[in-house]
Amino acid sequence: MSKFHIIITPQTNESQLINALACAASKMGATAIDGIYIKRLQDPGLKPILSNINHITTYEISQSTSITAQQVMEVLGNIPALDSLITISNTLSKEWLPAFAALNNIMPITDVIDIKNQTFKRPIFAGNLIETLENNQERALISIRPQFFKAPTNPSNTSFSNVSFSPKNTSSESLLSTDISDLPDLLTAKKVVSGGRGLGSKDNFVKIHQLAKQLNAAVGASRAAVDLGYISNEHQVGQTGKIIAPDIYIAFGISGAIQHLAGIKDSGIIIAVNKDPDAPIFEFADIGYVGDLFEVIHALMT
Amino acid sequence: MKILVCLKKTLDYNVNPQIAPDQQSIVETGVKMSTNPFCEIALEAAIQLHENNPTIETHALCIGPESHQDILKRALAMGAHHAHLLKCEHPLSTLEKAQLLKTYIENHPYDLVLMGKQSIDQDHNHIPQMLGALLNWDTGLFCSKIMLNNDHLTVEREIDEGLCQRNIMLPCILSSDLRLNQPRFISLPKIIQAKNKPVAIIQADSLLKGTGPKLTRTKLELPPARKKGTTTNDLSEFLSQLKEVLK
Repeated sequence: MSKFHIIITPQTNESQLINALACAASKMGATAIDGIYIKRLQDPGLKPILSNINHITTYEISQSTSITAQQVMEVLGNIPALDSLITISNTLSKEWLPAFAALNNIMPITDVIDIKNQTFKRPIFAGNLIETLENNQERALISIRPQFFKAPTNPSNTSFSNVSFSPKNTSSESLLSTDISDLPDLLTAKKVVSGGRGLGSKDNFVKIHQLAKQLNAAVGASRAAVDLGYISNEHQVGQTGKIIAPDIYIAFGISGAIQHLAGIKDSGIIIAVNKDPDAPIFEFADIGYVGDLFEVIHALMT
Repeated sequence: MKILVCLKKTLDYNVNPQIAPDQQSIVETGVKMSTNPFCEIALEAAIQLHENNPTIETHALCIGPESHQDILKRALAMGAHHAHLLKCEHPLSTLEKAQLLKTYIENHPYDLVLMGKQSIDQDHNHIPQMLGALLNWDTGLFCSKIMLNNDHLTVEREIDEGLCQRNIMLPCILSSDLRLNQPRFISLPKIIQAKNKPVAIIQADSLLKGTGPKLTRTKLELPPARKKGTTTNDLSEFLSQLKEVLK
């Protein structure tokens, strides 16, 4: 197995993600890596700081709504001689990768955190265990968690080409709510400030946003905070939300259910503030404070 | 209208999984097993749909050995009308399960297939997508709201960018997210009544094409442990530590 395609769609910090994909491909023994970049007309193109990739073909979809799994599969269906594919694990790839794999009678390997040739490690049971899988197939269809693949950025002479693509499947999906803010992206942020049930209200949760802004951090949340309506779902961190690994994670009023810990346990430094000294998050936190979270936020803001 | 809800039997969510001596499998004997929580949410969604529309019939299905009938009896107690076990003695991959379900559904037509978005043991998040592709049905994943209109459904889905909404024509496949509903409590009399309800058993082994394992699990291990840090209730001490980290 030597020919690899990395698949990428518009996201924040694309160059970081492409480096992670190239790193994963080289760990699989790739000798040649090509990229497929699927974007809409209005999305800016890739910046040419790319490592270890021969060529990137940009497929420009003539539409304005978000890219769908069907469209990614249509693009891939039009590329002859596709071999192994590697992409980032996110909700879009969670849609298309298993579907594409099934149509090709391939068992995909998703949420991979380590690779050595044809063996892959992935977390199971909410990260309580790690399984090692050996791929017995000629092709590999892989999604990775990018924070586990950190490669040095070597500027290389990647060539680029553009293809206009009119998909048969037009998207009829509308985004009901999304947070438009200038704060860093949760998945790739170096610092994350996160809030849980302990914030007590949607109004109080605004303090988390303010502190995040001051620290130039992304905003995260526990499932409880999202369920209670303090913040929208795209901020949820955990087994079923986003899995993150920032350098610094600060949790306010989060007790630390196992499902939440699954989303943060690979962070650099975990800091927890909770009024309950028995909160499970203190078992994981590097630095913990038992007391009033509002006092801490107030002290950090002034 | 016929709804099929697919259920997986997993380790109970309160059980801490233990690695068996072979270093490749999980200890399952003597451990509490339950319906995968995401699957139970899918079942609750189907029951709510048929409670509002008596022409809807809900069928629960599970793939596995005969001992998996217990979660089907539980589904009947919860409110499913019929239960089917696709009997298979050996473990199957997500792809094999999707292929098996495709064959089953081609022979037993349904209008809507509801499934959990992932199982809490393997955390795969594969089968609804795979089944949708194999049947060439429209697929709505990670649903946190399902509304049934005349000939179509409107679903709200939780994706990385936020909450999105779309209309889906039947037949289709939907996968449930945690915020879709809170599964109902099942009373003891209902559990006792359901003990006598039948579970149809279909031999699944004959429906499977044997091709050898595409993936082999060679090892199971614990993740590197995080070491416990320091906890204080002295605010000024904590703040000075925190400010040091944030430098």
